[in-house]
Amino acid sequence: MRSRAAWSPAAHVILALAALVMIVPLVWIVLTAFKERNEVFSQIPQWLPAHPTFTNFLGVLDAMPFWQYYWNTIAVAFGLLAIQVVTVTLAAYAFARMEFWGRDVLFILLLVQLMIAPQSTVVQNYITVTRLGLLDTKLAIMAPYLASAYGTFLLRQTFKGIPKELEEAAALDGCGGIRFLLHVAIPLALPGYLAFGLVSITYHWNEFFWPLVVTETTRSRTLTLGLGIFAQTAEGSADWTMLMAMTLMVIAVPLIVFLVFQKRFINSFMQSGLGG
Amino acid sequence: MKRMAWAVAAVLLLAVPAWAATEIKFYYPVHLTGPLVKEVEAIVADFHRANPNIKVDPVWGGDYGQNMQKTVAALQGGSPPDLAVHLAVDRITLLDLDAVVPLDDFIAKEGGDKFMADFFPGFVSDLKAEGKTWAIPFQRSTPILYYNKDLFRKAGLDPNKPPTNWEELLATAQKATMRNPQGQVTTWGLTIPDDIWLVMSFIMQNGGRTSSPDFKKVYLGEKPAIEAVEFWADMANKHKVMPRHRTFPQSVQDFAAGNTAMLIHSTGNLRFIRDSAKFEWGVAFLPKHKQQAVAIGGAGFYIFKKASKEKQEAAWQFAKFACSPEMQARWNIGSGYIATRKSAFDLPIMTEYAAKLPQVLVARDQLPYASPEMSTHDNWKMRNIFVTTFQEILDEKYTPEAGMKKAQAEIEKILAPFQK
Repeated sequence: MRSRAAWSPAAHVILALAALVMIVPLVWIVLTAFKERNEVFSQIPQWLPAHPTFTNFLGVLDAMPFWQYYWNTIAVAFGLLAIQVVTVTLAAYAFARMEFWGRDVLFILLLVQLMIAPQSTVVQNYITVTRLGLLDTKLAIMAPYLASAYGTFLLRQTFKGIPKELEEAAALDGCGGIRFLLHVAIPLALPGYLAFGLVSITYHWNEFFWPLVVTETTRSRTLTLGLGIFAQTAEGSADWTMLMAMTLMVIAVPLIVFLVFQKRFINSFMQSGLGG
Repeated sequence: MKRMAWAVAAVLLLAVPAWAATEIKFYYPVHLTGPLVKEVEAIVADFHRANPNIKVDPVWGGDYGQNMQKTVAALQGGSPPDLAVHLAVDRITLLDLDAVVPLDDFIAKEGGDKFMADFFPGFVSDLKAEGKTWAIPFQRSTPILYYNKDLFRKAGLDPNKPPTNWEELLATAQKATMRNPQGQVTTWGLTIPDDIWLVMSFIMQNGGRTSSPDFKKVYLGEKPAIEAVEFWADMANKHKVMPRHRTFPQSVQDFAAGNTAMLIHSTGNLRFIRDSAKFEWGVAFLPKHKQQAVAIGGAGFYIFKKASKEKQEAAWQFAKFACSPEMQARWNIGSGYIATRKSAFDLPIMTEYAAKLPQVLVARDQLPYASPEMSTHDNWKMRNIFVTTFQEILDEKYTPEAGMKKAQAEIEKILAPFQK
């Protein structure tokens, strides 16, 4: 107890500094989004916008079918998560709880997937998606990710942590198989689901290259592609104020989701950290 | 019920022309920021108004590299676009993939040489290969020297006398570089993005060669190339008048913020600097050494082999429209890319624009000195080796001579399969 009390003020200072480092870019995004274009280039950096303006936001709405892109992104990220939860749960449960021939080999094969860079499979995936007739659809963006090696691995570990006795007891009470999964295993694994959900949503919310390759029109394109219009600058300079305005609009949903579920997320990470 | 039937009939009638239209898929990159997507969409909208029987579906494909990857993936998936804008240097790759058709027949129908005569010759020459023309020039740019007249005055330099040769470039940069009492640089004399597009121009100015006309050889180990790189590296490391590394976007922002007195960069930034600079600025030809020279960059329209004859014809109609003097004038004003047609500069909107921004004419007048960019088979790999080694030379990991010879040897290895 004594050592903890002595540690506390120093820890707080360090944590506060770390938090500051994390928060500054976000504050900078917010402030820049309200600045006028030329203000960004002043030699002495200015924090507060001299003439706060909404032009950047209006410019973003004018430059692309923004709300359509937003809807597409939500549909892709959350729709995908919904499907993943089903596939990942069944696979993880099978790997964690069932005995069958070749299980461990299969599981290792699944883990190997984690080591393959997604970029290296773009062409093959493109060909598959084209043959399925899915080109330029939201489903095409989701297709390669419908099953998730990462999610399966994470949940398998979580399911493995559930005591065998609990399952036997449940089976005695007539709650075996699928019912055990639904009523006992899944509720107990909730922290694992939250952790996986967070990773999955952020990854697919931010994905750029695959959607760029596989979509063509407004009906399926996502926000990152819209954002890309402002960030493609290899030959010139970024339009920083517009870029920041759009960034702010793009990260709004994940940010709110995180703030709302903040406590649960943190708990889930702590539990999954301890669970291993 | 009857009303419903009428409504359905009316809708069908209205829809008929849409069914009859030839639809073409068009991939394009945007390498400069923001509003360019709108500019391309405006060209498409104007084209639809003039050609109701053709429907163009424009698809933004990222920057040049990403757009090319998208096309290559689509080619392998068996559904390439009908029309696309790709770099001039990508023509070799597209030819190796057997993806595109030569445009000579289309050009012949428009009047052949007479039709092409209105394009600036430099912009056309690097779209040819194997005696055929593979693209028509759409978005083209060259490097140009931007300079900050206010900073020139502050350094005691004549704001109307930008450097014209290498010696003057170095001398001007030395005078314009400002240091604080601790000796740290506060204003650079010169900034150049450490990209090989600009290195090529220096090699050419030194009378050197970059790549062979059959795209199978490079000449980086030759003396003029080594000397050019040496001059560049000395400005950064020996004289310290220029930062070693700057990306394209960083360097433009440095210039706009007044952190560098001179900048060598794409003409594509004329618009950005016009909108951002709060000081008096000018542009000039790149300084010459043994000769006046710049490397041309940028892209043209390619038509794909897999498209039906009808679609190819429609694609040509659109490409021709987008490269017409009127559209090119508008594209120049909107983007900063140099209009590819000579007559575009005689149009009223262009003369008005040039009256407000005379710098545009300097970009045009430099064109007679422009030559094709270095290009080979497996172009992206070649570029990658060259740029990595060049940056290592700047970091003094290699001497210019050792580095350039190493790059030469590595590139020869990747070009070996193409030597017959």
